[in-house]
This record gives sequence, C-alpha cells and structure tokens, in this order.
Amino acid sequence: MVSQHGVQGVLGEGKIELFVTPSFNQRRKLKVINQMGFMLICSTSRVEKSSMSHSARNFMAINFKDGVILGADSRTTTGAYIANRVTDKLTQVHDTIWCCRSGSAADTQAVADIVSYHLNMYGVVNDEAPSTQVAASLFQELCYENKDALSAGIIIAGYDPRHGGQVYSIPLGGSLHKQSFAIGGSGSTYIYGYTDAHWKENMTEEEGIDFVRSALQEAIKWDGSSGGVIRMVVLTNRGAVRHLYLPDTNYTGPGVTN
Amino acid sequence: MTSLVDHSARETVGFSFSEATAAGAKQHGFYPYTDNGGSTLGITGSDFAILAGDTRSTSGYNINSRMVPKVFKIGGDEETGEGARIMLSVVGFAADGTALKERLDAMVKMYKYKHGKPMSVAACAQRLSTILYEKRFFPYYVHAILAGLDEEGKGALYSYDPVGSYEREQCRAAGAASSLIMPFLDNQVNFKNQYIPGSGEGHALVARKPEPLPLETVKGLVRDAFTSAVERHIEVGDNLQMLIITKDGIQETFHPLKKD
Amino acid sequence: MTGFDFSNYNRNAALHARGVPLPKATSTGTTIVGCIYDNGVVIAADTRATSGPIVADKNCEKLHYIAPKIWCAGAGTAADTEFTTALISSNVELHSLSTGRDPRVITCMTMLKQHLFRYQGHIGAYLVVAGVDPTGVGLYTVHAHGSTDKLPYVTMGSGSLAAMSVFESMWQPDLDKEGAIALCAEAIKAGIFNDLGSGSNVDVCVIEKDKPTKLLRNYMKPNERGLKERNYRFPKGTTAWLNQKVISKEDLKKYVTIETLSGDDNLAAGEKMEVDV
Repeated sequence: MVSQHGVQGVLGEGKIELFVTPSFNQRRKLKVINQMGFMLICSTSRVEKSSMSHSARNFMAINFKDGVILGADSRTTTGAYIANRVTDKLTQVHDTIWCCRSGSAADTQAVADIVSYHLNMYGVVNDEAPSTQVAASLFQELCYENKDALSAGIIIAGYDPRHGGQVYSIPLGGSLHKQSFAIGGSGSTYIYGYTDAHWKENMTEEEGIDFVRSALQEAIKWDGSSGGVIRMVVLTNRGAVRHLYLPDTNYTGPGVTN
Repeated sequence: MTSLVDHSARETVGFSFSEATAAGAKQHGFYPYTDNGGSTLGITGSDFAILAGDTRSTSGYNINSRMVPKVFKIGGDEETGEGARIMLSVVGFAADGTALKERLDAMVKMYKYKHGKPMSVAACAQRLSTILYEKRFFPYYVHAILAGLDEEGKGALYSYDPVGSYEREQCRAAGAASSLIMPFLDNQVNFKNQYIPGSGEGHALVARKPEPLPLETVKGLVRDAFTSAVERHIEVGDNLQMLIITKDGIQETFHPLKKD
Repeated sequence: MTGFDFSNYNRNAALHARGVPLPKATSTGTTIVGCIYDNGVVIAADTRATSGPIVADKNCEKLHYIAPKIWCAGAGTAADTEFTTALISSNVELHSLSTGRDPRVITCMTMLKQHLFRYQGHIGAYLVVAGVDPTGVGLYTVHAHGSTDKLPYVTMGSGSLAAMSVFESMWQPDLDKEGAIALCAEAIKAGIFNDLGSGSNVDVCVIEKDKPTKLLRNYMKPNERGLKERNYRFPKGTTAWLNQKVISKEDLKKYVTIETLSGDDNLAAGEKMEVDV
C-alpha cells in the first residue's frame, strides 16, 4: 500500500481510492475555483491497426510523424473574477501522456497529481512507459469511485509507440470514452458544430494545429468564461512539443516554445 | 480494502429529536434593501444642537463614495439650505434616507407656504413619525435623528426607529458604529457610571449629575467619538460632517477622518 | 495521524439544524500579494483582522514563517492560516532534516495543497507561498479547496482585486528588489484604502538568493492613530466600588515572583519575539 501525506492514492484489489476525510463527505463546495474554460484535444491521425504490433517493436517503423495534439485556453475564474489569466491547464502525467482539466481546479489538480504519481511508479517498476490506456483507466477509477466528491471533467491524450496517439474523455459521472477527438469544458458547447464540420481523419501536424487553434479561437470568442492565451502540446514519437498562441497577434504566434 | 468514501458513512446524520429535518426548498426573491453603513450622532446643549455623521457610503467590502453626506438641512433653500432651522440625519439604506429627507423637506416647505410661519421642531418631529409609520409594512430602512431649537431656544433632538417610534433625547448615536459610540456618549454626556470621588461609602456614593455641556466641549466629544469609531469599525471613515444649529442659524463643517 | 477533534460534530450539527448559528471566526479579510524579481521574491500584507464589521486587531501579522527562505502570507480564517502554516513549517523542517537538503518551495506548496484538499475547503486558509530554494525562485497561491497557481505576481484576500489592479497596470518583467518592494507595497495600499476588509499598515518580507531573509514589519504606516481632542482620564474614585481588599507587595511575594520593570516602553511591552532567519 502506498500512502502519501494528504491526498492518498491507493492501488489494491483492483481499486484506486481518493481518501477524503469521512465527516466531510457531504458534497459541500464553499467556494470553488472553476476552470470551466474550454479545452480541446484531437488526434491528428492514429496508427493503423495492422501496423500496431509492428510499431510496438520498432519505434521508427511508423513513417508518418503523428500522434495527438492537446489544446486549451488559459482562463481560471472565481465567480466573475479571473483568478489566473495564463493558467496551464495542460498537465503532464507522464512523458507523452497529458491531460486537460475542467471543473473544480482543486479536484482536477488532486486527481492529476495522484495519477501522475502512479504512472511514474508504473514506469519505474515495469521499466517501460505506461500506455495511454493505463493512464485513462487510472483517471476513470478515481473519477468514478469518488464521483460524489468530485466535479471534474478530464480529457486524456497520449502517445505511446505501441498504440500511437490516443484520446480518452472522462465526463462528470466517471465514464470513459475513447474518441478520435474530444472537446470539453464550458466553451465546448459553442464549437460542437464547428469541430464536426471541420474534422478530418488523418490530418497532418500542421492541419491538426490549425484545426485546434481555430476551434479554440472560436470558443474564446463566444464563451465568456474562456479566454487568455491558447496553449497546445503536440505528442508524437519525438516527445512533447509545446506551443503558445497569444491574443495580441490574433492567436497566430509565436508557436513552438520549447 | 474498503473505501473510506463508503456510502453508509455518507448517510445524513440522524438525531434523537424531531426538529432535525433536511433543509427545505431554498427561498429566492428580490431584496430591495442595501445597508450602506456609516454612523451618525446627535447631541444637544442649552442653546445649540449638533448632528454629525461620517461621509462614507459602503456596500459589502466596497466603498461606493467617500463623500456622501448623511446630515441635511430641512426646509431651507434648495441649493444652499439657507434659512433652514431643522436638521435631519439618516443612516442605513441611503436611497431610503434621501427619499425620506426629500419628503420631509417638501413637507416642511408646504407647511410654511400654507401657514405662513416656520414649522416648530416638535411639530416636524411628530410629522416625521407619521411619514415613517405610513410605510409600516415596507419601511424606510433608516435610523433618523431630527434636531433643531425648541420654542424656548433650547437644543432639541429626536431619534426614530425605522417605523416611526420616536423620543426626545439629550444625545443619540445611530448606524453601524452606534453600539461603539452610544456607551461613550452615556458616559461623557450624561455622566453615566461616574461618581463624585469621596462623596460617600458603598451605596451612599453620589452619582455625578449631568449638566448641559458647552458647545466647544461637545464638538470635541463628537470628533473624538468618530476618530475612535473609525479605529474599530470598517464601515466608518473618510470625512466627518457636522451641522451645528444655534440662534444664528446652521453652520456646516467637514473634518477629515482615516481612509482605510 | 494526529488531527482535529470531531467529538462535538454531532452535537453541533444538531444545534445547527435547530437554527443555532456557527460561532464567528476572526477572519483576516485581507490583502496579501507576492511578486518575483530578478534575484528573489517579495511578499506583503496589510495588518487588519476583522470579526464581521469590527476591527479585531489593528496590527496583526499575516506573514508566516515556514522555513528560513520560505514564507507564507495568509488570508481567510485567521486561526486556519496560523495553524496550517505552523503545521507545514514543522513538517518542512522535519523533511529537510531527514533529506539533509534545503527545503523547496514546491514541496511546501504540495504539502499545503494536499492538507487543504483533504479538508475539502473547511480549513479556510488562502495562502501566498513564496521563497528561494536550490531550484530558484518560487511563488504560488494556494486556495482553501487545494487548488494552486504559479505566477510571477499574485494577490489574494478580499482586497485582491484592488491589489491586482495595481499589478496589472504597473508590473514589468524586469523588476529589481527595490522596484518589487515598492510595487507590492503599492498593491497592499490599494487594498488598505479601497477594501474595507483590509487596513492599517503594510508588512513586507523580502527573500533573496544568497542573502538572509528580511521581514520588514510595518514597512509603511499610512494610518497612524490621530490624537484625541479631550482628556479622558478620570479622577481617582470616579468608579463606584462596594468593598476593597489591599494585598501588599510583601504578601504577594509569598505566592509569585515579582520582577520590577523599568519605565522603558519597549521592555514593558513584553519580550520581543525572535524570528529565526
């Protein structure tokens, strides 16, 4: 059993639990910092089923440079007040497994911290990076088992050499959905139509970035609780590459930042 | 491994008595009143009366304005207040305060127009009570103090509750810091809890008799009352407005207070 | 694990259901800020503590010690900020002793957020954590529910909007120490004068690389108490009494040790508190 100070994540009997002091179980949120904002992630293209086992063995076998792109705005609000206008909602839980958090900032940060801990442990114990699916399952376990205490909507995206880029979404109740692209957060309602109309399978990296950026720009335009800068991370076999797009230049630059 | 977030632990707490019920449907409605904070006070002497108030207007933790007077001249010139012989202070909900002042002012002017003589403070005091009681079930949310000189030329001061109950007094503090100022006034104006040293043993000790205070002393007390209230009450501050009525008319002064 | 005593929980829940209100805790309806600069970080706070609309303390300390080079500014429920920072300070020191390394700001921030998250917002501590460690300069905010933010300049408390307006209009990326101190003090003053929950003086703490931390208590005093116009000393015998008993100093010495202090004000005020920096 693994136990940390404060919030504890426990792996055992096929269950992961988030310990919350029993007396405070009643779901009483006094003042919740919300990160409703908007976030979107999409996979530019997925590895073909036939090449899967192949790519698992040979990292360089996939001859197209794809994976997933995560994108999010940067606004965190407390009521009408913008508590943080440059928030980084794209959270790394492993080298090339990242997540987008929406809902209560405290809840999603706690969940992401626990998952991050378990994935890093997994990486050390098994001497192999965890798959995106493992990460998504960990997230789901926490979100489902503690659904009464949490208000968290999380999108998980990652790249692993075996499965390529993958996107999972966990909405409020704690269900898990594997998707080709996912949108979430308060601003997402404004762009269901946009994303649906502009989505293409097997986009190039450039097309993918453009798709995410334009969709986010639209969500920021229409949703009051979304705003600030656009942050992105591109996950491929080359690792994680971060992008930043500023409102000063109408979200056209600067682009890659690392 | 059992979960600490067990469902049985989340059941509502049961009590051994009947009153314990789950919270009912949440009431929701329009509330037309705001508390704008601030404090006022009035003191009378043998030939004068003082009405004072701070000039801060607040809502919640915000300052609406640092200069909103709470003390008014009643029945005088529209612009300058010249010719007025009655003063009114209002504290509580500022919008109601202004409305009440306007009504009383118009009423005092109508009295003079109809009867050809200025209204006495006693008459005005009774009329103000009526105005307040008219709105018994939708009250003016204010604590009013009315002051002037009575028919003998002595300082007269009347204090009101929001629905028109009133009383003539020597001194009165109203508003946010009234509970801080009133005991000070009891002690310093009416000499409450003060005894004459060496006048007797135990119960025979003679209490200090109140006497009308000179104007300068009262001015000092008013300023000290407010500089003290400002130290301990967050809704009081910015400026002190004082209206002093003597046989020569009403004199208005402003005095800076702390602005934090 | 040690923790809170919940033995009165049921009784209080029952009383609450019967309409008995919760006791009012002293809250530091506060302005606290923090700002990083080229070689360190500055945090600052006002010194007003309130209980409802009444000023409970005109010169309280809202800057809390965590470690020699990690300090915390606290807003929210006074007791919660005090005890939470004291607890984490203790744990940070033990952690530093067991690892043999200087404590890190991010460690402290993580301990705080996990502690606060566990109590689901019931511990009303809103904190600005700042410090310098081997990894560099750190500045974070921690909310009562356990969420954290990392920013170059931060504000919290009821005066946070007033203070943030100063930062958003005057902050520059290339501040030096003096500039950062001046900006933080200006932000606190905006809170003091425009937020009713904040008032009195400005406290500042400067944490700099390779230099001892400086706590500038009452760095600014823009709200000195004015002089009273009248004298309120009562003649001896003004207060009524029914009986009296005089205990001589000699008699008293039988029960307690008596030390006579000189007329020096500083001594009479009690020993100065020592701060370990």
